[in-house]
Amino acid sequence: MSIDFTNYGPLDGYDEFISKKGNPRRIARQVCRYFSGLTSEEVQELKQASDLAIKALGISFTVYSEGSNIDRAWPMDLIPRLIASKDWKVTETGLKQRLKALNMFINDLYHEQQVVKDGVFSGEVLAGARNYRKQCEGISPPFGVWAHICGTDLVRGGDGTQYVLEDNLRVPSGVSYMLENRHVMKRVFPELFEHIEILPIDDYTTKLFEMLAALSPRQGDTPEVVVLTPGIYNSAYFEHSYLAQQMGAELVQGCDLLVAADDCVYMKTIYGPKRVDVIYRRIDDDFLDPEVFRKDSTLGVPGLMRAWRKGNVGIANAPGAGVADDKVVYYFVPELIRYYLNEEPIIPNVPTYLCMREDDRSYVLDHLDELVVKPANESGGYGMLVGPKATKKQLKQFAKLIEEDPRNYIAQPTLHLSTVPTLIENGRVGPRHVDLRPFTLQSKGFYTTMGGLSRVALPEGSLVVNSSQGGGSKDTWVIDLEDAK
Amino acid sequence: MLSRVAENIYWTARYLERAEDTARLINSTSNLLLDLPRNADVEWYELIPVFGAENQYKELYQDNQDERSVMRYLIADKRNPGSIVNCIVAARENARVSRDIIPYEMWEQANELYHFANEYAQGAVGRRKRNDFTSELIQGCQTMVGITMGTLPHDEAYQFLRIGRNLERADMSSRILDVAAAQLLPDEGEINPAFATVRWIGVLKSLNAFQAYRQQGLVGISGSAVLRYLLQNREFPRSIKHCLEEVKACLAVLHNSEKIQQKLKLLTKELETVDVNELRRAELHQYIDELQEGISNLHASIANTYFL
Repeated sequence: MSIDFTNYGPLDGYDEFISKKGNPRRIARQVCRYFSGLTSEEVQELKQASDLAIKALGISFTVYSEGSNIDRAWPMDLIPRLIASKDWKVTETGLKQRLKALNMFINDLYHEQQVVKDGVFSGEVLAGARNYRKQCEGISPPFGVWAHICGTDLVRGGDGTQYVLEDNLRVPSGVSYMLENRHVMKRVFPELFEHIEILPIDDYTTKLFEMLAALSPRQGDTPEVVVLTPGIYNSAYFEHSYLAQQMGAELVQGCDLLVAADDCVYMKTIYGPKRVDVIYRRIDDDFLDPEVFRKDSTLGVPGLMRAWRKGNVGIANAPGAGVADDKVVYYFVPELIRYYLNEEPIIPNVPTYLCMREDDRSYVLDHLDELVVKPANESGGYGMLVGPKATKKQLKQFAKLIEEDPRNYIAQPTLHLSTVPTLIENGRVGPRHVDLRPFTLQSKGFYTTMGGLSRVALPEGSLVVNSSQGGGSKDTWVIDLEDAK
Repeated sequence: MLSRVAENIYWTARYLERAEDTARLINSTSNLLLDLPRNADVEWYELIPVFGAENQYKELYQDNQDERSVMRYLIADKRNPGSIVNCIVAARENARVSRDIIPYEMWEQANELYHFANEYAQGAVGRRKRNDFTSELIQGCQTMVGITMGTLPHDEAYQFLRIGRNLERADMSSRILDVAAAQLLPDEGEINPAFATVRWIGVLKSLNAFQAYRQQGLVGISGSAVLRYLLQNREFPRSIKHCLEEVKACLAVLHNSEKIQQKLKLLTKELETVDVNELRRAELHQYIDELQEGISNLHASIANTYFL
């Protein structure tokens, strides 16, 4: 028995491989042909080979559960997600456009706040922005860039239209899994890489290092760049160590760093203190510097903000950049693009209701069972309400939450995320919902990953792609169809 | 290089070495016990004092000193911080926090050992599968040493790894000698206990030294010759003298190591001049105590200089 793509399950919205008529789309033809040609034994063998590679490479993620941390093998599906390179070029331009505008917005907020004065952005929203840092006012980081690394969540709706779902500007994670998925796929399917023009993604860490190096306050060829991690118990620790290793940067914890009397940052080495030029921090603002933010933080470095304010160290993403990583700010991004760049947004937002606006709020409260409600400042899929799947009690509870703190909630229609064939039990495939997280870099210039991390909701019908909540992943292939052999 | 990372790497090596040496000791003891007649009065429990673990063992196993209990304690017991399983877990944890600087293959190997030990340690408590387990574990640890030599740049990180391995090895060799001597060396007036030769061979084998010892061409195997070999031979990689020489070479590469080198020099000098032929049981025990204290002081100076 082999895989049958033409009749592989009830399609629920837009399927990226198979058209409504049941035929493979042009982009998916080669991959469908390849997988259809495998027997179910062969599929099982390939699956085992991939699981083994993941285990051997130690690709894992950490889940918090019942008070302890569990290291789990990273779940990756064998069937890749496919994107045509000409489509990707458009998306890439849209992502850069968006990040550019967001950075101009953040810089404006910490200086003149012209955007508020001009009435484009609501002062009320700003006043309630939990991630706005007064301590950052008046600071001018290099190139006027605050968010150097942005992970943007993209989804396709039922009609195939691509939307931005979220801008992750604080400490976005997932890029190492994107790179490792490719690593595993190359081991398992060398022949596919030979015959299909799959564009490479391997230059990410080199570009990341270049971007970071550009933030160095000292001239010279060998800036000391470090990755600052909260430590081994953080769920993204695997990624922190992976990126440090790939960049040849030191992986440091707060206890490895100190700010000396000259307001420069040093790391503790076996031969004494050594000056640090750029910190790629993977800990939240709140924990960064106990002298300025949370006093009980043991993860951060006392005096770090002082050193940064004086321009003695580069920090990515800059403290305070998270102000734009807010689902209420998200609502305004298309307007911000028009305002700062005088351009039309290339990738649209998902239609969004702002609960702080009275009209929107009464609509949301009347249609709670159809909508997805999200708190403004959470990530990882926590604290959300999925209306159509919620119990009466949950609906009631959210109605109360919204009325109590409308600024903190937005609502969106339930999107029928697009589907991609995914291996399920017994060597069969079924349609499963996916999203896509590309990563965009900005300092001196711009860079966007070729594709990104595709996350897939593994249970049938599920729309939740977060790995902490039963999500898996797929390698994402941007394919040059013109060159297809 | 970060101090914290230097320390992690050092401990990765120490834990791996501890796991390997424990496996070797178990292997040779198993072989020895098969050779000796039932009334030879050699017990599995004799392994416990090697690790100085009498008290914890008593707490966990009361008076059960049978083979299975001793093996469970040394191989698979998670409550024993020095059990093979725990050493491998600790080695992997230390490698995990050094992943940014150790080569990928080292991490893969640490990871593989971890999965192997977790899966098979419990089964190795019984006699039938034990040899397979210890042999594969030793091989896995040796693979790690090989990968380290062949892929880690021979810079500071490498020196810390080598220091860790050799200090641990010297410590373990000294423990094995201490216990053997207590049982096998004559005290005033007493004669050698039965089967002394076979048991000295066992000591050599527990350090994989039998073949190398033989190749020196010495006639017969006596307690003092074995002791001399395992304490003072410069070439054999598990003799204490060799381990200290390795540490010396590593220290020469590191800056700010002058004081530590001084301490090492004193320790080496004592080792070279101790007259093994003249030692009686009590004196040897006392000397080895001093040696172990010296090794542990060496560790303390290294930690104070580099791991702050």
